[in-house]
Amino acid sequence: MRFVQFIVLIFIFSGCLNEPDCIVTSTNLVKIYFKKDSKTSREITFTKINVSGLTKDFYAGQKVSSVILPVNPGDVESTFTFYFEKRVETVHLAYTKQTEVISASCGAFTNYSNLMVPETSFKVDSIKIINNQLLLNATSNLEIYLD
Amino acid sequence: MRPAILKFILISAFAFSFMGAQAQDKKEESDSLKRRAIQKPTGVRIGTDLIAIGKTVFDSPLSGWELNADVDFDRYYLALEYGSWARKDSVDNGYYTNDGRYFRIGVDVNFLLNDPDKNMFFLGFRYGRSTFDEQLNYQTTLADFGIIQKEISNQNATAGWGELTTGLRVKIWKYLWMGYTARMKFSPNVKGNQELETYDIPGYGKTSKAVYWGFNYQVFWRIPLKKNQ
Repeated sequence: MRFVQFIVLIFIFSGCLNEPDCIVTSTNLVKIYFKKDSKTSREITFTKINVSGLTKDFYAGQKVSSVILPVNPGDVESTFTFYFEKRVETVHLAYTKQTEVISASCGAFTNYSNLMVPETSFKVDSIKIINNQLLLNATSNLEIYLD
Repeated sequence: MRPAILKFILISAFAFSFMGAQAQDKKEESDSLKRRAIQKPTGVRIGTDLIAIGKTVFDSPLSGWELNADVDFDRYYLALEYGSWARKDSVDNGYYTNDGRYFRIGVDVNFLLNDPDKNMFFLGFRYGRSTFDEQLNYQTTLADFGIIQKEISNQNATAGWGELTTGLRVKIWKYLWMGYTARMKFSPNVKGNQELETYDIPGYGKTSKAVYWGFNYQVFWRIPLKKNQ
């Protein structure tokens, strides 16, 4: 009968498991940091940055050491084109999308994960993936090392 | 019915069932020594879930039906269940629907031995499997892309899961039986479109919960396979 008592306890205590919390951390924004080396930021004055699927220019005339750019939610690939210091460089990003309904009251959201850089005009070893998931609380997704 | 009230009724019923089983404990142990050999079946019970019918009639987001059958092999009952399940549910920023069929197979162990009416307090397990389609239409606001309307579906998805079950079966009249089955469902495993994480599995429930509770209130008709049973 100890087995029966064990099963009873499992039934009763499993009722303590609740609905998932409505904490949404997913985003379609990629955070990119530019660096000279692992400890030193690299400031760049961009002529502009273009994102595939959008006609808008990002960071035009701005001097920054990091940028936040959106990936295309309608596709599983996006290309960022950086115009700066008389150079034009591209970073081609690939990612996986997964939509989930957290709960009826919380709604549906798309998570972006498995971030990869299959192609770039930067030196291949100059790009480092720090976090391959796009999250609101992620400090950085990519680091690009420049002279 | 509010989940808390449902849980209270369930646990209360279970506790009463358990106390009844405890009283018979010593008798069962001596009986079990005499009853090693599994006997031939004496009858088949075929029934349906009244809660599923009630939900369908009273316009719940969930609609469907479920057929239940069991056959006795001494204190062990082979249980088979087959059902249909469709959910049409609003979510905060959209609308979710699914539609599918499922079956469960398993064994119940009766703890009320030598009851002349073959009343039953049981513990058991099930393996469940479901085939279904699901669709989500939702709207989301994304940086720089603005408001986006999306439709995503998962066709011919399959899922499997396990269940621990407990319940009662009580003879009401001659061949008519009633009872309940409480289910603790766990370990859902879905195969389908990776782009949409399954929200609700027909026969299981919402996948966001680590353990999902199910409750059936059932009515059965027993068909005897032996005379004088």
